[in-house]
Amino acid sequence: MTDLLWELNQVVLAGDSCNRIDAVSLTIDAGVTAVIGYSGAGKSSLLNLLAGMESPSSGVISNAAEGAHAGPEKGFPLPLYWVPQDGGLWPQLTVRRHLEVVFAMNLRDSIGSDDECQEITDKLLGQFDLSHRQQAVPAALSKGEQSRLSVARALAANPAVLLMDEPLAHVDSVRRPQYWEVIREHLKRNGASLVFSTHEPEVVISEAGSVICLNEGRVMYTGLVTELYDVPPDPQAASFLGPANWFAAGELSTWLPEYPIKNDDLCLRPESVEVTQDENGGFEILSFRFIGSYAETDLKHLSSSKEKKIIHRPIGNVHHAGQRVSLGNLS
Amino acid sequence: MTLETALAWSIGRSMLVTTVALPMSLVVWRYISVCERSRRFHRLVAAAALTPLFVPDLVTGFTYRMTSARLIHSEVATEVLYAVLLLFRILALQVAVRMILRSSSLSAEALYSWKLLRNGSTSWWLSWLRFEVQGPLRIPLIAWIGGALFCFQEFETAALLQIDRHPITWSVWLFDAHAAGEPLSHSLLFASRSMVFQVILLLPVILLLPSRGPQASTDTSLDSASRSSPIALCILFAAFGTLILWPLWTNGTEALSGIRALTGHGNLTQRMLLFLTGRNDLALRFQQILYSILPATIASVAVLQLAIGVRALDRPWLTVLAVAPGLCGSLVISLTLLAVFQTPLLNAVYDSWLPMIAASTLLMLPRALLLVVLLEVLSPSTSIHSAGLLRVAGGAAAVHGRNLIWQLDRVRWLIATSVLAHWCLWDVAVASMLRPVGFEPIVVRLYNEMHYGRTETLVAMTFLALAIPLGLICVAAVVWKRLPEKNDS
Repeated sequence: MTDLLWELNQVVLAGDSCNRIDAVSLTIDAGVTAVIGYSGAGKSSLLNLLAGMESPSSGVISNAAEGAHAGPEKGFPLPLYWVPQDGGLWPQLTVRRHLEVVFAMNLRDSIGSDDECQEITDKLLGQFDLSHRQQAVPAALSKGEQSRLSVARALAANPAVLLMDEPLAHVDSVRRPQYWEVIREHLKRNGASLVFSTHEPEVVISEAGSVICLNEGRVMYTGLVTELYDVPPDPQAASFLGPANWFAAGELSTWLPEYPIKNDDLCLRPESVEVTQDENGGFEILSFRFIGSYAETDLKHLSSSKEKKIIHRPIGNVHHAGQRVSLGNLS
Repeated sequence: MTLETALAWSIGRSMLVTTVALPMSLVVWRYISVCERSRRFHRLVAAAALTPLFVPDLVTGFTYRMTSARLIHSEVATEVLYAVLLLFRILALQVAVRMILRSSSLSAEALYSWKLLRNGSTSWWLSWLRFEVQGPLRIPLIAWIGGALFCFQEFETAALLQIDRHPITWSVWLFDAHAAGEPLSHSLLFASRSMVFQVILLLPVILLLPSRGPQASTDTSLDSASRSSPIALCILFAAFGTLILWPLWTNGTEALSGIRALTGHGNLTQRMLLFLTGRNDLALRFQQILYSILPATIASVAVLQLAIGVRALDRPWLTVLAVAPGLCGSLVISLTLLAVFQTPLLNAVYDSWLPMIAASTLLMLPRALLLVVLLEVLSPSTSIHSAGLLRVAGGAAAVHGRNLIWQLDRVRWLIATSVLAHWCLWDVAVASMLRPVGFEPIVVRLYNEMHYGRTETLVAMTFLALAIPLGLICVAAVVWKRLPEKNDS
């Protein structure tokens, strides 16, 4: 079995005023791949192309997943199924019927008896907290419930590759991790692949192995999530996975004098930066803002009077303006 | 000629004309959708496409009556003339349907989600067909059925174009038979035969009725619109020219001379004095038009409230019950209510405005529901509430808030009421069959006189019947805008 799912070569998807996807060339391997980017970056367009919902205006998309991974003998009745951004639900079907018809179309033969189908349906409904809404039609569901149903239906289809466009986007943040756990378990159990788009860096970090960063229809970065997190190529790419401190090579001697001098810029994530109270420290706090998991501190370098915003994990005492501090690199 | 022959002609014509109109309306609608980038041009094009809906059939028939008379020796030419006039009217209707119901509750993504499950089984294909009908085909189907019903029910234009036998329509056949003294029971029996075709058309509409379900993404296949823009513009110009410009051109100058004749003799002051004291024909016609507007306005207000109620209750069976009579057409409604109001229970109110208002209300209910849906789309309650919140601030923000509410809410309801009143005012079948004995609505007088030739005063009366309501709407707009709102101190 090949690891390659898709290969895109100079793919363009034309839009009204500009290209929605602009000369994109990339490969997508088996596993979990996140597509990340700002609103309007082209995430949904890329997923629509991969799903075959839309066709490229030019360029070639090779779908290696189709023949290589699918087929009942490989345990996957479908090569691909998806969770579109609007849920793509069927207005006339109840929640339960959404899952039942998917089973009826594809899985009944491989699963066996009706009882088993009902059992799996019940389990999925329970896992996505939809049991009490199983007789409701999509119009009667909240946005969150619609999102959950769309994901449940995709899992019920049990494809070789799942495409999810901002899955669980409308679900409350408290319960979202438990639903992601269901998805994760499904992928692990069945050996399926997932390509999903999201705005949330935390989801990318926790769920994906690879990442594709898009901006204005173009690929900004493609590679491993860990690499993008630790050694991003530029500040914009770094920002896709959350806050980061970016030190230009020339200013490293000012802000991190103990760091070995190199010609490269340095990116430090909040957990790698330490701001500690130090009466003899070379910096003074101008302002301090606590934002839950990290803090934003405006620092002034006393010798040069240069100022910089530092994002870090607050440790120990809460800082305040006027305090003398030192800056450390924990990585 | 038998009713069956007339029905066959009407059915054939309605199927043909509506089918031809469907792709044309798609081209025009796509062009209008693309024009949204330029707001002013979009409004202009949309107005040009929809204006034919507001031209009374009677005016169209009257304008082209002389043309039909010249074509008296060619039955085919007369039929073609009538079909073309219907085509352009139906085109406007179908564009309106596409604009109002621009998205289906089944999104393209939902349909594709089903396609991904394709396994070639019969159940998959059956479900796919159902998805197609409820998804991409839903709006074209509603547009086609709406067009076919309108075409089948059309009466006024056909009646005025029919110099000899053609155009042959069941509606004219039935109206003439009833006017010639056919017993009401016979007329109802004849009408019931026409209902067979209408019920066949109505059943799919009932299944495809718009629901409050989540609105899916709009049509994404608009990219080809720019390529078809010359065709769209040609269609628009042909429709607008045929139903608006040509009638204005041919009737305009005669109308002005006619108004002069209606005002009597003497200088302007003397004519004004005669008008104000109600001693010239203009004053009499003015009075007659005002009296005709009154029941039409009452019906339009009533039907709009009814439509809001039906929409708010959101029960499919209630919606079906509400729109079904109106979709049967004015002739069937008028004959039915004529029978109903002759029963002992309602006989006491037979000679009043009530039957006329009731018929107009039932007739307009489907259109009123469409207008309410349109207003919901154009003025979401959240937008109106957001504007309302500004009023609390006082000062300039409050003024902006009031203006926004006027633009978002009040003026749109005024237009909706006016449009419905306009359609009520110009319906000949309801007015002629259900009017009280001592009251002659202006449309009945016009309809009768239009059969006997073309005079300047007749053209002037037609012009006044169109212009006076328009003037009153403007006055109502000014007055309503100045009225204090409930929340104003």
